[in-house]
Amino acid sequence: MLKYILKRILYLIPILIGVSAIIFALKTVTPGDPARQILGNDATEEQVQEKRDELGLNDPVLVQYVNYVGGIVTRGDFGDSYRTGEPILTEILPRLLTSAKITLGAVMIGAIIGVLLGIISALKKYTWIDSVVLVISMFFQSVPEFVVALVLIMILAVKLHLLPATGITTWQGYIMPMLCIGLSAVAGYTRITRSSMLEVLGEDYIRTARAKGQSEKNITYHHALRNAMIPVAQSLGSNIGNAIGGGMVLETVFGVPGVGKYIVDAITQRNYPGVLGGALIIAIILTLINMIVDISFVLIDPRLKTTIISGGAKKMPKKMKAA
Amino acid sequence: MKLKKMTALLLSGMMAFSLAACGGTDANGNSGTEVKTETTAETEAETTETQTGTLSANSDPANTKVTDETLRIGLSSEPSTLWGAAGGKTENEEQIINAAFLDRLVDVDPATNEVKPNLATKWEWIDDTHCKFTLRDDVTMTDGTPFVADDVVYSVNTWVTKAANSDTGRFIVGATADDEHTVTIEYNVVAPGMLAMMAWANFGIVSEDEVNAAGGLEGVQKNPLIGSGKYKFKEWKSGQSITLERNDNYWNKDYKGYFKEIVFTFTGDAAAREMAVESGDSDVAYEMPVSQAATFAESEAVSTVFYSFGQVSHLWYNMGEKAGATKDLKVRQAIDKALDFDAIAQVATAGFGQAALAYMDPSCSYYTENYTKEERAVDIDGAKALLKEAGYADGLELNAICLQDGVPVFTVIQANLAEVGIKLNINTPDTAQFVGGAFGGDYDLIMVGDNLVTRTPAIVPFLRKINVNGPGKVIGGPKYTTDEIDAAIATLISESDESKLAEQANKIDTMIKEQTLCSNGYSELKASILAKDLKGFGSRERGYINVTTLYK
Repeated sequence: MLKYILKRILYLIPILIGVSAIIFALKTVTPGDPARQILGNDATEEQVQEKRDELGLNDPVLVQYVNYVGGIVTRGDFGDSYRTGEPILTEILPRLLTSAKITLGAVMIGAIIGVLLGIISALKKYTWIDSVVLVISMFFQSVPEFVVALVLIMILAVKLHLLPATGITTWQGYIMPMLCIGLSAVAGYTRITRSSMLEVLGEDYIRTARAKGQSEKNITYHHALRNAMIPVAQSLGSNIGNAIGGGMVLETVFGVPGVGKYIVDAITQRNYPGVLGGALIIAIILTLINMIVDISFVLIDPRLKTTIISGGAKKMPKKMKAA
Repeated sequence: MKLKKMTALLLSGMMAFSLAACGGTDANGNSGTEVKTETTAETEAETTETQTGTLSANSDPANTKVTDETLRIGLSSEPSTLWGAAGGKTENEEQIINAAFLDRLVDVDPATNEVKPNLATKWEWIDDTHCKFTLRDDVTMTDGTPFVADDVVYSVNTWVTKAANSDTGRFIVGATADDEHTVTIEYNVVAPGMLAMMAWANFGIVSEDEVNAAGGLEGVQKNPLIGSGKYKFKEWKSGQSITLERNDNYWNKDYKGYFKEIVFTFTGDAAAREMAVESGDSDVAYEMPVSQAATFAESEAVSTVFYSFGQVSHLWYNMGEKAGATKDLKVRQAIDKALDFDAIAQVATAGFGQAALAYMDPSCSYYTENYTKEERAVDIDGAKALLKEAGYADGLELNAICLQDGVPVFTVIQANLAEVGIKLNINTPDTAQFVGGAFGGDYDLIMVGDNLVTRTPAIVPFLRKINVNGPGKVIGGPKYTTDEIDAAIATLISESDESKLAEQANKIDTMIKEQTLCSNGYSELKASILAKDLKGFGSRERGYINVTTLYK
C-alpha cells in the first residue's frame, strides 16, 4: 500500500512538470510585452528594456522556465503580480478558501440531487418519471452555466429577493454560485447512479435478498445503494475538477473573489504571473485531490487492492486465469 | 404517446419559466418607457441628455440631506491601487474612487468648462510656465493636520518622481512653497489648459505625514488614509469591496454628503451588475456596454443614463510606411463619401448618439461645426468616380483592426464600402495584438477616439510629430503629419487667448478635412444603470462617475 502511495506521489512530478511547461509555453507565445504593459504606453524603449532585464524576460525561454520552477520548488515563489506587485501566493491563498467553500458546496448539491434523481430514475425505469428525471438533468447539463447563473439571479434575487445578486458579503451569497455549479453536475451523477443502481439491482445477491423476503426498501437502501455508490464516489474527484473549472466563469458573473475570478482577471489584465501561478496552483490541487481519491478508494474497497496494488490480472492465481 | 406529451409539456414549462425570468416587466408586473432623451428641433432626431459633473458644493440644490444610508456602486473590476500617482499608474476604477477622498487645487464647472477654486482660492500665471496658487487656510487633512503649501509641494514631487511617464507627472517640473499658503508650480510646456487638467483625479493633494503614517508610498496605495476630500477611506476587502465614509470635517460646509458610506463592489459581468441594481443589492451599475444598457432603457425598475464625455471616435486612414491604397487622397475621399455616418452612429450608440460634424465633440468650449449634414450624406456615385480616378475602378481590398466590441461598427463600414467595390477585412486580434498593431501601423483603417474637452498638452496625439516621427508612440492614427498641422496643434495648446481657440481648432479641423486624414465618426457615449430613486448623477473628466453627488 505504501509503495502504491509513493508511486502515486512520484507520478505527480512529471504531471506538474508537464502542466507548468505547457502553461509557461503559452505565456511565451502569447503576444504582447509584459514590460511595456507594466510601464505603460508612455514608457521609453530604454525603460522597457530595463524592465525586461529586471523581469528576466531577455533570458532564453528555457532559463526563464528553470528559474520559475526553481523559485517554486525552493522558495514557494510563484512570482509577483504585474498588476499589484504582491506575491502571487499571497494573493491567491485567501481566494482559495472562498473557491474551496463554493466547490465543496457545489459538489454536495450536485451529488445529493443527482443521486436522489438517479435512484428515482432507476426504481422507476422506463416510466414517464424516468424520462422526466433524465430531461431535467440533461436540461441543466445542456444549458451553459452562465445562462443558468443569470436566470437564477433574475429569479432568486431580482424577482423573489431571496438571495443577493452578487458578492459574498453574507453566507447567502454563496448559495447561488454553489447551486449553479452543482446543478450542472446533476446529470452526471444521475446517470451514473441510475446505471449503477440498475446494474446492482440485477445482481444475484439482490435476487437472493428478495427470495429471503426482505422488503424492497431494505433491498434498495441497504444492499443496492451502498454498492451502487462506489462509481458515484469515484466520480467525485473529477467532479471537483469540473466544479473548479465552472467556477472560473461563475465567480466572475457572481462577483465572487475566488481563484477562478482571479485567473480570469489576470488573463484580462495580461498579468502573466497571475495566470501562470493560478493555473499551476489549481493543477497541483486537482492532482492531489485525484491522488487522495484514488488512494482512499483502495482503502475503502478491498477488491481494488488486488487489481491496482498487486498488478491485477498478472498476479491472479493460475486457477482463476484458467477459468 | 403519453410519455411524449409529458416530455413536451415539461420542456414547454421550462422554456416558459426561463422566458418569464427574462421578461421586461417590473416586480409589480408593469412595463413602460422612460428614456432620458430630448429632441432637438434642428435635427428632429433623438439625442441623449448629457449629464454633467459637479463642483465642490452640491450641483443639485435639491440635495440638502445628510443621512446614515449607504450607497452601493457596482464597478466592473477592482483597482490595484487607490493612489495611482504613487505607483505611476492611472486606472479608471482608482480615479473614480480616489476622486471622492482626494481633493484637488482646482475644479472645473462641467457645464462651462470654466476652472473654479477648490483647495486653491485663486491663481496667477507668473509667466508661461509658472502658476502661483493661493491656498485655503481652513482645510484639514484626514490626519487632522492643517493643509499647507508643503503638502502641495510633496504631492507635486510625488507626481514628478513616481508618475513621470504618465500625464500626471510628465508636464510638470516641480513646485516651491512661497509661504504657508502660497505655492508655485512649474510646468515644462506652455499650456494654459494644464490648469483645467489639474482638476482631474490624478492631481489629488496629500500630505507627507499622512502618507508615511499610512505605510509610505507603497503601503498607502492599499490603505489610503490620506487627502482632504468629501469622503475618507475606510476599508478595502480584497476582491470584495472598498468602503469610503463621509468626511464630516470637510472644509466646504455647503456640501451635503447624502450617504454616510459608499461601498464599491466588483462584478465583471455587466448583466449581473445590472441585475444587482434591479434586485436592490446595488444602487449603480457603472459603465454598462451602451448596447446592453439600451435594453434596460424601457425598464420601470431601473433608470438608464446615457451620457457623452467629450470624445469623438474617428476612422483613421493609414498614411504611414506600411500604408497601401489609403495613402491616396482620392481613396480616402471615396471612403469618406461611401460611409453612412448616421448608420455608424446609430449602431455605435444603440440609437442614442449622432454623427460627428467636427473633429471634436460639441461639449468642447471651442467647438466649431466643420461639416454640413449635406457633406455627410452618402454619395456612392461620387465615391466610385474617385476610386476610378485613383485607378481602382475594379475595386480594392483593405484591412481594418479593432477589438471585438468594434465589430458592429466596422460591419456597417464594411457594408458601406462593399457598395463602392471595396472589400474590407475586419481583423479582431486580442487586446495585446491590437495594441501592437495599432502602435505599429499594421492596418489600413482603424477607429480611435480623441477627447479635447480639457486642452491638455497631449491633445490630438495622432497628429503630433513627436508621436508620428519621434520616440513617442500612439495607438492608431494616420502615422503621418505635417509641420503645419503639428505647429497648429502646438499653437492650440499654448494659446492663452481663449477667444482665439475656436478659430485655431477650426483651422486644424479644416487641415484634417482637406487631406481627409480621418473621417469623423460619432460622439462616444457611456451608460450606467441606476436605482430608480437615485438622483444627482454626474460625471467627471473622461466620463468617470462622480460618486459624491448622488442622493435619494
